[in-house]
Amino acid sequence: MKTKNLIQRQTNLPAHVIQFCRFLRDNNFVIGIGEECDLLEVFTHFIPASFGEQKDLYKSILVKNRKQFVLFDELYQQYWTELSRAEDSKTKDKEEKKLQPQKSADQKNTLQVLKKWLHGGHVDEEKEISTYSAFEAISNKDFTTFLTGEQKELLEIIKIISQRLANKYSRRYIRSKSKKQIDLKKTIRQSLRKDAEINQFFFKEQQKRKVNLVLICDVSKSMELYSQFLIEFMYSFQQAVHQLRTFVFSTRLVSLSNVLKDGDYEKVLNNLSDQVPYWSGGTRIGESLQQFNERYASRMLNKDSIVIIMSDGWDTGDLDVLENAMKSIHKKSDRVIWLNPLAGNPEYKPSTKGMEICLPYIDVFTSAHNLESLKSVVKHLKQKKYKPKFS
Amino acid sequence: MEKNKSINNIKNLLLEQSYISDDAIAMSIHLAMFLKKPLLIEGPAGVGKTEIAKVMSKALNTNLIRLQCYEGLDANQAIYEWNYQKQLLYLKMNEQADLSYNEKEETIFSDDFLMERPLLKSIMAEESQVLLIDEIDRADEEFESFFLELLSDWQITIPEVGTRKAKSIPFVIVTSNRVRELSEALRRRCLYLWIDYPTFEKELEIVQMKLPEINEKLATQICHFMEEVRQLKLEKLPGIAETIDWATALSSMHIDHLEKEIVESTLGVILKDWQDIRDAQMSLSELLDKVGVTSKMG
Repeated sequence: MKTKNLIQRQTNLPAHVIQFCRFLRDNNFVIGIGEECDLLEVFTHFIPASFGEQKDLYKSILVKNRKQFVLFDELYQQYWTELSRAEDSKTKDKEEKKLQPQKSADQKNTLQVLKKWLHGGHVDEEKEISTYSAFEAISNKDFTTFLTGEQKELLEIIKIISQRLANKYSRRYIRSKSKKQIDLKKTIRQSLRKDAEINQFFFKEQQKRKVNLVLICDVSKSMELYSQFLIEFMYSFQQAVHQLRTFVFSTRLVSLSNVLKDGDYEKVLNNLSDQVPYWSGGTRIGESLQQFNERYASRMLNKDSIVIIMSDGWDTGDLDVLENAMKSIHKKSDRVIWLNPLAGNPEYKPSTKGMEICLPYIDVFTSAHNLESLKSVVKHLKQKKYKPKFS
Repeated sequence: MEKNKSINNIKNLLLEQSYISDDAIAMSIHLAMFLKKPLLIEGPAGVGKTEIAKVMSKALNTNLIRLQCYEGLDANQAIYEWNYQKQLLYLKMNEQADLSYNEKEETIFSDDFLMERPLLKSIMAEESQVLLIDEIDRADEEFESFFLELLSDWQITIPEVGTRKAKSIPFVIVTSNRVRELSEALRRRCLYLWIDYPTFEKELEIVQMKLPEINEKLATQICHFMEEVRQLKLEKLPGIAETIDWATALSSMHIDHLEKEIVESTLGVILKDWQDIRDAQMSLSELLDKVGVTSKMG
C-alpha cells in the first residue's frame, strides 16, 4: 500500500475528503473531481451515525469495481490509523527517505540467463524429442537455427494467422452491398420518401467484430531449444496484432505486451531480461495459468477471446491446479489453441500427464516449431473459419 | 439536515417487501437516490441483485421497467423504434390527400408513430420509475455507449425529432455477473455495490422470512449445508435463490431434518452442473458430517 502524500490531520471537511481521495488515488483508485463533489454534497445533507456507516458512504461513492471493493476496507482502516498518528496539518512530518532500488546482481544474472537462453541453449539439443530433420528445406528448418533474415516471412505468416483469427461474426447487422439479406426496415424507411412505393431494396449483413487475442508462452528450461523462435514469434505476433496481450511463464506469469510493442528488436531483447527474471526456469503451467485467471482473465477473456498457449506441456506443478485453470480458460473464452513445438515430430503423442489433462479443454492442438508448421496452422484455421453460432 | 434515519428507512422499506438487506446495501440505495445516479450491482448469480430492483419498485409504489440485456441488443430494442408499418399505412391512406412532403414527414415522425422502448419509456414517464438494466455484461460493449448519454444527462437524442429530456429521473439499477468487464466510462457514472454470498445468519434469516412455516432445524441444516457447499471448488456455486428453492422443496415434502438420502436425491435443486453434482456426491458424507447430519446405516 502506498502513501505518496503525507496524511495530515485536517481541520475542515473538504480538505479531509480531498486528502482521503488522494490517498486512494495513490493506491490506484480512479477518482475524479465528480466523486469528490458527490461526497461533499452528501456530507452537507447527511451525517453518518457511526464509523461503519461513514465507511459505507465513502465506499459506495469511491469504489468502482470488485478489486477496489475488496481492498477498500483495509485501506480505510489504514488511513484512519495513519491519521490518528498524524500531527496537526501545519506540522510537517519527517519525510521517509525512499530507498533507491539498487540494481541487483540478480538482474545482471537474468540478462545472462536470457542471453544463454537465446543463443547458448542448444547443449541438450540431442536429448530433446523434437523435431524435423535439420537437412530439410528452409521451410522445414527448426527455429533453433532460425535466421533473422527469415523473420520477415515469419511476420507474414503471423499476419495471415492473426487475420484468420481477428474477426468473428456479430449478431449486429450493418448495411451491405451484397444481396444476401434484405434490410426491411431501411427498405420501408426509404420508400416513405416516395409515397410508400417500394422500388428499391436495401440489404444488410452480419457485422464482423474484432476478437481479443491472448498469447501465453512457456519460457521454461524444456522450451530452451525453441528459444529463438519463441521470442521472434512473440515479437512478430505483437507487432502484427497491436491489441494482443502477451504473457510468458515458467514458474510464474509475467505480462510482456508493453515490452514487445517496441519497434526496435534489440531494445526489446534488452528489456525482456529486466521483465522476466527466470528464463529457463522450472515449469509450473497450472500455477501460471491460475495466476492468469486470477489477475487477468476477468478483464481479458470473454466469448470473443481466443487464447493461444505455446508450450511443450511438461509440467512439474500440481495437475489439479492445471486442470482447473484450463477448464476455466476454456469456459471463459471462445477458443483455446495449443501450439506444441514437440508435436512437429510425427511420432509425438501428447502422453505426458499435463498434456493429457489439458487436451479436453483445447480446441486446436497443433505443432509450431518452424515456418512449415506455422503454415499448417493457417490451413487449420481456414477450415475452422467462424460461422455465427445461431441460424 | 437529514439524519441517518434514511438508512434505517430504506432497510425497513426493503424488509417490508421481504428483502433482508445490510448497511452497505441500504447506504448504496440511499446515495443512489440522493445523488440521482445509477447503482451498478455486481456479484455471483443468485444473490439477489435483480431482486433489489423488484422490491424497490414495490417499496416506492412505482413501475419496474426492465431491460434484459443480451448479445446483439441494439438501440431499436433498448431506446426507441419507429412504427414502420403504421407509417406505411398512413402514407398509403393519404396518397390522394393534398399534403406536402414536409407535412407528411412531420406527421409520420411524430410521437404517434414512435414506439418507446425501456430506456426512453423510463425517462418519459411523468413519475419516477425504477429502471432495471439486467445483466448488462451479456450485451456487447457497443451497447454500453447507448447508456452514457442517458446516464449522465438524462436525455436521449432522436435524430428525426431532436433531444428528449427526462420528464422524471428514474431510479436506475444496473446488474452484472461479470461475464466481461464493463467499461470505465460506465462505471464512473454509477455508484458501485458488490453483493456476495450471505453469511450463515443472514441466509437463515432470509429462509425463515421467505418460508415462515419451515422447521427451524431443517432451515438451520440447509443454511449450514449451503455454507459448506460453497467452500467446494464447483463450476457454479449455488446462490440464495437455490437455497430458497431447496428449502421450499424440502418443506413441501414435510421433511423436518436433512438425511443423506434426501440430500443426494435433491442435489439437482441446488447444483446445476453435472460435474458439480458428481463432485458434491463424492464429498457428501464429509459435508454432512460438518453440518452434523449422520446417515442412516442399513
